[in-house]
Amino acid sequence: MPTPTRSLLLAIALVGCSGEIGSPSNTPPGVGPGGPDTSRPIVEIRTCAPDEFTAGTNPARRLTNEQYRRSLAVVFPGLELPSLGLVEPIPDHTYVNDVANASITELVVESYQLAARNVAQAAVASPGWMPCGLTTAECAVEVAIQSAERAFRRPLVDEELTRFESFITTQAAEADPTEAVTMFLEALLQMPDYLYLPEIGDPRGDAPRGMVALHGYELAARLSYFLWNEPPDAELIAAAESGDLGTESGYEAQLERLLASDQTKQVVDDFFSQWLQQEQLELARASEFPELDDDELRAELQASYRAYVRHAFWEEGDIDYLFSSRDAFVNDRLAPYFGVDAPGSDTLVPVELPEAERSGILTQPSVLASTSHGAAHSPIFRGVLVLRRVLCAPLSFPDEALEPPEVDSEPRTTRERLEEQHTSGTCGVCHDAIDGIGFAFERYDAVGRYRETEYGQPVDSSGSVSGLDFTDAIGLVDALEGDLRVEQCLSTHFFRYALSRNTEIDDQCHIAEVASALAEDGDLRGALRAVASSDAFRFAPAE
Amino acid sequence: MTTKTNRRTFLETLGAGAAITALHAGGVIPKAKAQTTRPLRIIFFHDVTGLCRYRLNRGMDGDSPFTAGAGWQLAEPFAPLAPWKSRMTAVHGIDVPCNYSDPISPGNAHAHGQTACLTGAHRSAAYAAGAISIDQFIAGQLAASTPRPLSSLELAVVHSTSYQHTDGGTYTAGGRKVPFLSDPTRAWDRVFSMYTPPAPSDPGDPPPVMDDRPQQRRAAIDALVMEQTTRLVSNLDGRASGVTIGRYQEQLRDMYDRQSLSGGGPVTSPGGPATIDVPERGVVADAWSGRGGDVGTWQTTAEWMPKLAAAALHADQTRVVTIRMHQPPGAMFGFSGDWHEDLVHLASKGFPPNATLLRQITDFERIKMEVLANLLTELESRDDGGGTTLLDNTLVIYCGQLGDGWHRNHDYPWHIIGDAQGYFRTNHAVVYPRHRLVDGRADTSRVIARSDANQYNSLARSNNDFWRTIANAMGIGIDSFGLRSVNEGPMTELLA
Repeated sequence: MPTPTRSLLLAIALVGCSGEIGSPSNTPPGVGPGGPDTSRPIVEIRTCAPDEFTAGTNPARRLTNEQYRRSLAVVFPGLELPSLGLVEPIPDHTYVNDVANASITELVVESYQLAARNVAQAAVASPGWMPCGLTTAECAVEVAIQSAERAFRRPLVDEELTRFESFITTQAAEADPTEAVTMFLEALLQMPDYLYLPEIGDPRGDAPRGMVALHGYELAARLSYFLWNEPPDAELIAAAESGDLGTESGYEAQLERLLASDQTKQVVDDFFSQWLQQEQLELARASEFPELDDDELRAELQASYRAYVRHAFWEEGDIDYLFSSRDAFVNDRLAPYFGVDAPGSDTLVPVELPEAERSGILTQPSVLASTSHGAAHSPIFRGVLVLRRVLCAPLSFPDEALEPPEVDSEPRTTRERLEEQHTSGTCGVCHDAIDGIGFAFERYDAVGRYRETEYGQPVDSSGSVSGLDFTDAIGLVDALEGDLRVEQCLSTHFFRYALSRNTEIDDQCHIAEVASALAEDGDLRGALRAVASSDAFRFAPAE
Repeated sequence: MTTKTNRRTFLETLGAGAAITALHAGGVIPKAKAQTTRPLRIIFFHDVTGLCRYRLNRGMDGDSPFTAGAGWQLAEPFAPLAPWKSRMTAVHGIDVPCNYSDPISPGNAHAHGQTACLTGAHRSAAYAAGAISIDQFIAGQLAASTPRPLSSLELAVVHSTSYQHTDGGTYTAGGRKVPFLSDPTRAWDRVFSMYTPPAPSDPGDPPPVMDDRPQQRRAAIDALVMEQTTRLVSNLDGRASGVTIGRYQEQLRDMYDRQSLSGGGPVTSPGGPATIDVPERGVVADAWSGRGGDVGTWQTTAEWMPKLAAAALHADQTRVVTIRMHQPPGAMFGFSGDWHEDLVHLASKGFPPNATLLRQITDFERIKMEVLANLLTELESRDDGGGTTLLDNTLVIYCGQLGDGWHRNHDYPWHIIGDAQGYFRTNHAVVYPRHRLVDGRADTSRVIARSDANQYNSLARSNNDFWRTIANAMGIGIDSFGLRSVNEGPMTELLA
């Protein structure tokens, strides 16, 4: 349950551009006719009062393709899975598990059917996972019920038991027990009870006002898919069955158990990878930097990023460390990209980076390189990444296509070209903020190497934008330290990942509580724990 | 005070012009002219990249202005289509006027082009369409009257680093993106995994004995899934999650209904060919697994997606295919930079543009047209019965979501290949004049000269009218498509 209202002043990012450019009637609060207000506004955000609980919407979560695969491994332990051919979603600035990526189309339904058929045939052909031999209808029923309970992550209700038993008995009589189970499994894997995490809720359970308690099995599934990306294990199911998971102490015990596991480490890796959109590194190319074409180099940069995040989260556990440490994980091949001597190792080992060159996660080469495209690096994409993902600024797309830069006859820096381009027309309304942040990283090339010149000209990485004054990326990171927008934004992203949807106004008090704790103690693991303990996560809205 | 909203007005605000057609009484709807009993199919060849206006506005000699009428010339990038010129119609000057009144702001030309090109309707968000696209609309209408195992098939020619923002373009009702298949093996599975080809037989042979077990088996599985789904939807009644799972149930039901058509036997329409050539799955799978890097991926999809599209139409597994053509990798046309920023934009900027860039963009376009030519060859090579080829019974639409390499959302150069069984006149070019906008509509009293190639902000004929005309050609009697207020009528200049 939330603590009593805690007055929390949080800065809200107002550097984004929404509404029609130049139209005062559409400008959001804090944005004057001349563009975004670059000062740092202070807005009071209400927190969750004990008598004023709120909860955002609760759409049905559908298993991601990875969750689908891992769920199959629980239903059919030890089975070598055949080709599934599931439809890959097209994430659009969202997390892969976001319900926005889970729209149902003809192709998606067909792919589930095809996968179900292939898996059913494979499962029956390799019966090692079955509790008995499929020689009798009785065994077929036992196999079917066991599979269904594992797939649904709960015991079957009587009606289901009757229906499924009847199906197996009939088909076993018409064909044989093996065929009956094959058919049943093909059907089972198309059922929404497996493909989705349906939450009916338990109106009899204790819940804050405006919310409803989840059934133990539903809460177990929600928690397990969040922290482990897979179905609940036997211990979690047992806690749900006994009702222990519905108690404060029981829930806390299971939460701590899950948090301490290796599965959660993988999930945290995945979160931080998606948070700074590291999947984009796979697509990053820059014609002036052909080394970005090297798949192995890009993979090693990503591995270094993951190692840094894992250390920051699990070993140091501190948000300041995450954003400002000079530690990195480097091997001989990566050393030149980090500006350090080769450590004499093919595997990643910890090194200390030059003080004047690096500061935390935003100066990781993987992050810097992931936004590169065209000929070289992109201050625009770097600025957008920081504004969207670190400051949660609401950015949008320009109304009209921009005139392209002329081909340079004389060498100029990227900043000089962009500044000339974006001072015309209304470009500066958005680009002052976007480019302004992006220019802080001008001392890094398209692969993330430190530099002081570009095309033979000295680079300028200074700026003053969005209430932040800096001379370079290190200065920007310094300016961000203590800026509550960072904690607010990271907490927002934790919630987006945990709830599998974009956050809503009714989530704000829950986010603010986590953000305020993060600002006070900097404890990243504590923030993750707080998200999983929040009412927004543990309960469903009363609908 | 409560204000009642007129249902038609309400639907129009959703960009659902086609959906409201039934609410409009009568109207003169031209009917397709049938010359054959074979079903008419349609392929949308959707080019997501920009085109070079300078090159497209000139004939194959590179200098002569593009001319309307029967004396037209193919523009140079379209040279691979020369063997089919007599069966083509070039349509220049199509505009997307729904963008001018789109209340969603902001959004650049990519967003407008992607969401409105095939929908002719306002967006619901920057990169979210607000209505159904024409290919899905036609697919839905045809499926309702003559259901096939697949209502439509969406295939992509793509490589691994194709721009992500060129996804989209094709939308279901409500503006949800329709996913495309870029793995030919997966496409084969979707189309042919339950397909039974017709078997040649002598007239004296006894009728084949059908094994009805597969059909019974499928029916039993489907029924069990539907029972369980119905139970869950009922338990979630009134909740947001219930709506989501209800949509899943609808899609399941549609799929089962379509698949029940197979019935364990061959799916062909009367009068069709005795044999249908279906590529062997193993051959497709081998090609895909051995494709290599970006160039190999693009070339493999470019080879197999047209073949699979033709085979799917020939086997009558579906009557609507959309092929989305992404950009070929730069290595295929000698370009090492970023095709979007450094080629497509810049090659379209000057009039005339830089000669080197012009050569490269022409090669870029020609590579895509060669894929289209291969598709036409494949269609033409297939006997469709009754003395016709599959190409005779297929309407192919070449369209793109960007008017030129500078992303204009107007003056689109689109092409129709095929006469829709006598519905369209062919071997001519239609160039719609440009007009100024007055109060959001074309002022047809004053034509803007085309001599000024840089003059934009004008309105020619709408893509809504174009799609309405295409739908009519397919026998679908609508009198508007997309945003109704920018529909002016069928493009009679195209008709035979």
